[in-house]
Amino acid sequence: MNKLLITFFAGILIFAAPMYVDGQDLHRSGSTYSSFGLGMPNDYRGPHSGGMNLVGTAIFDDRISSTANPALLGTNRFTNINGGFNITGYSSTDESGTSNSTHIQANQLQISLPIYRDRFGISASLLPETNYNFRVYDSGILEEDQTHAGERLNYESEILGTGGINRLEVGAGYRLGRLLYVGVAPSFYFGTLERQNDYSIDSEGFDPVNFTRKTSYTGFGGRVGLLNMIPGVVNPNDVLAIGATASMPVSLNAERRVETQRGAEMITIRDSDYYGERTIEYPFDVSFGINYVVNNFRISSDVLYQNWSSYEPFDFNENVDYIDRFRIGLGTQFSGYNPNTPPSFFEDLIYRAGISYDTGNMQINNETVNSWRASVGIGIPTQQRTSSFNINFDYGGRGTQAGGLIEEEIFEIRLSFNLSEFMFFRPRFR
Amino acid sequence: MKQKNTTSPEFLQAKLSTTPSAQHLFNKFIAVTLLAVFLYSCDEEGTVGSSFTSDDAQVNATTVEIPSTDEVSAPTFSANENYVSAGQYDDMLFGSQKVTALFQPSLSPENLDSVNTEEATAHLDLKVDELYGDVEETTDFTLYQITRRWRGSAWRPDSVAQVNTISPLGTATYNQAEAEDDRIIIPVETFWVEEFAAYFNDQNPEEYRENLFGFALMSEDAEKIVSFDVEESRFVVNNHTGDEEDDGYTDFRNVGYSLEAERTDEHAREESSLIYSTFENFMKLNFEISDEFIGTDNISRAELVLYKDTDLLDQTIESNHRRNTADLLDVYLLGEEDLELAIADEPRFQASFDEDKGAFRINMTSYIREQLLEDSPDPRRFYVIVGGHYGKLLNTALFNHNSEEYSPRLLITSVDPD
Repeated sequence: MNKLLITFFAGILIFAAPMYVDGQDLHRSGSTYSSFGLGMPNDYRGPHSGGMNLVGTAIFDDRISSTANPALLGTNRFTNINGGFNITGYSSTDESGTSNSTHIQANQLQISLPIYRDRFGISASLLPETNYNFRVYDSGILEEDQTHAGERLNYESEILGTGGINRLEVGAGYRLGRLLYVGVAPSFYFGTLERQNDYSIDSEGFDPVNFTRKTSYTGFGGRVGLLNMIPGVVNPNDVLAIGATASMPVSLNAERRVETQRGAEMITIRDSDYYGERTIEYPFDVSFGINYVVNNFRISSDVLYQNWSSYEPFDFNENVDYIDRFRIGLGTQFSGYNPNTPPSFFEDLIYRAGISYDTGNMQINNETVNSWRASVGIGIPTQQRTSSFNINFDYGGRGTQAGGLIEEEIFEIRLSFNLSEFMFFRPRFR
Repeated sequence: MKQKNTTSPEFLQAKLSTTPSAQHLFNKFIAVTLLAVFLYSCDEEGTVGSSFTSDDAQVNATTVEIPSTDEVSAPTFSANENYVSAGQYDDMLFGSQKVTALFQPSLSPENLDSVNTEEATAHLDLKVDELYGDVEETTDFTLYQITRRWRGSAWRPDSVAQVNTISPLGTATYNQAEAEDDRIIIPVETFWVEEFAAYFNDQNPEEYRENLFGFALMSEDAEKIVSFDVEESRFVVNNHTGDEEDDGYTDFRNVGYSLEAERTDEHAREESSLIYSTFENFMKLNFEISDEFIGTDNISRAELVLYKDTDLLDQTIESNHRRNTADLLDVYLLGEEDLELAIADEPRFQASFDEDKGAFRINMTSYIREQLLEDSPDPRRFYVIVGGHYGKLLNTALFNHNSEEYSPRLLITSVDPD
């Protein structure tokens, strides 16, 4: 198992780390709504909470770590590594028609260590905070006075967005007393949003033109978290957990440059001095969650608030109004595993389901871009039931065709692994 | 109810056998991931989202005027081109011009087996291409013997052929309306044909080159200058044997022209430059390609535009006269030290005259985009000449930097990020 952990850790670092630094994307394009601001916010913070369509503020599990609440690190008893991928398909419709796109993206990568089991734990994680990936095609007509051709000409353009904001976070959680956990997690935000434009004029003698806007962001932030366990609320075996987190606003230093490709070289045509250095305020957020566990069943809910109304984008001419965002979810998890009963593959699995509603963080043409999701998932645990492989399926919708906007149908598969074992533990034999 | 023995080896083995090991899970994780990657649907293109995605690209059409131009001259050659000219014409704008065409038939046996020394007659058969001057008047041409060796490879417009003007070799009259198949037929004196026959039948090019130099065609009438298509012209020999197969023709070993010109600036304007295809006067464009000069980096199309002073050309020629059409512009990219060699260099750009716009438009997009990548500007400059060295007199007038409305300029279409 140790060899497996080492192999996995090395493989994931080699494979996944460059994706995070280079914008997370493995392939193709995502939601067109991610073209605004810093991209679409990411919410899933753990292999188990994702299956329940929740952030996971109060979802504790000593075998599964998450980045939902730093206070949860104090509950860990196992060394844990988790990570995974999303494959998301979008079917987007507006007044011009329908287009389909698919996007593959790496999820968070986290390693956590219990320094003192069920008292003090630490973790390091790398997770995508926003997704900025889209592909938009456009075509139209240039009037006579827009070129020197003396006639109207057709043009085609493609705008490709890649990247997003990432968060590199270290966290620590500690149990105060018997049932109260606190946590803190400073973090470093970084990322580059690239917006590549390929433009061609349909006439002999006109060369295609391309340029890429690269906007880089860096900043420091942090979160604090609380988790309170209340056992025996209804049943002697049950536990009610109440969790809360708060993150501070992040002042992101933003720089932009524009490059164009000439042959094999990228040439800078607008350097950062042209735009000047700016400070972009990434909004603060607070979340609140409850999680009720009895035997192999749990039900949980959480709500997230992000202060996007105070956000001002780098591009002042964006035709979008940013609004405060609320996200609420309800999910459940069940496993039929019983060590005292005959083995059964299906009973040993972990089943998850959940729904969520998100008001979104933007208004375009006076229309709010809200979304909803429903998810189901299964966890396939190892024989020791410490590690698991998780598959989650999401279906949802975002936006509307009113106001000339896009209505999206979303299909998502999330594949994640969760590896846990006792490390630095000398077994004792009788 | 009897409890199952949950600690028995059989029970534990059964339990373990249904629960995947970590290695098995790892294999499944990779397999499902790969399967999912290959199963996902392909992107389908569409314009969804284009209506509200912010417009990144700004298409701009800008005009950059060439700050200054100069008139320069350079030597050129005037032999063995596609055309050759003969005649005289007094042009109101370009001055008086007298052109003498020089021909030296070749000894090629390709289309002629032999020349009957005693019976053969020959004539110069010239295909008329264009007329420059009074197209209606009849013009007399006279053929004279060239009496000194001349080399086509080194012949210049201001070179002077040594000619026997006392004893003409032949004469012809040309009127466009009457000419059959638009050709001029000029019989050649038999004594010259006899001399030619001796060299031809012996196939002795060295002796021929040293002793028989061809003929010069000129006109004393100042009505027109006629240009001939060399490819379609020939030296025809009739052996008078009764068998047509014994007749034949040769092409020319050397063809060239000499020009005597008295230029005038009586009708010239400050806003336009007179351009001569003989390289006596052509235009230099003074500008450097740089970001500051062009004003943008993302060029989709860049055109150099030069306008013909059509009004000046039309106002300085009589209604029944005509000038050779100068419809092709050659643009050379040269250092000043290379001007002397310009005629040996191919033009960097060529452009045809656009009648609708009254201008020559040269697409320089690739060159300017390359130059914008360079660390330092190209020290060479553009030199503009019309028609090039084809053997016709193609004179024209182009607006220069002094013209407010039609100065040379770059038309730039760019797609800028903001």
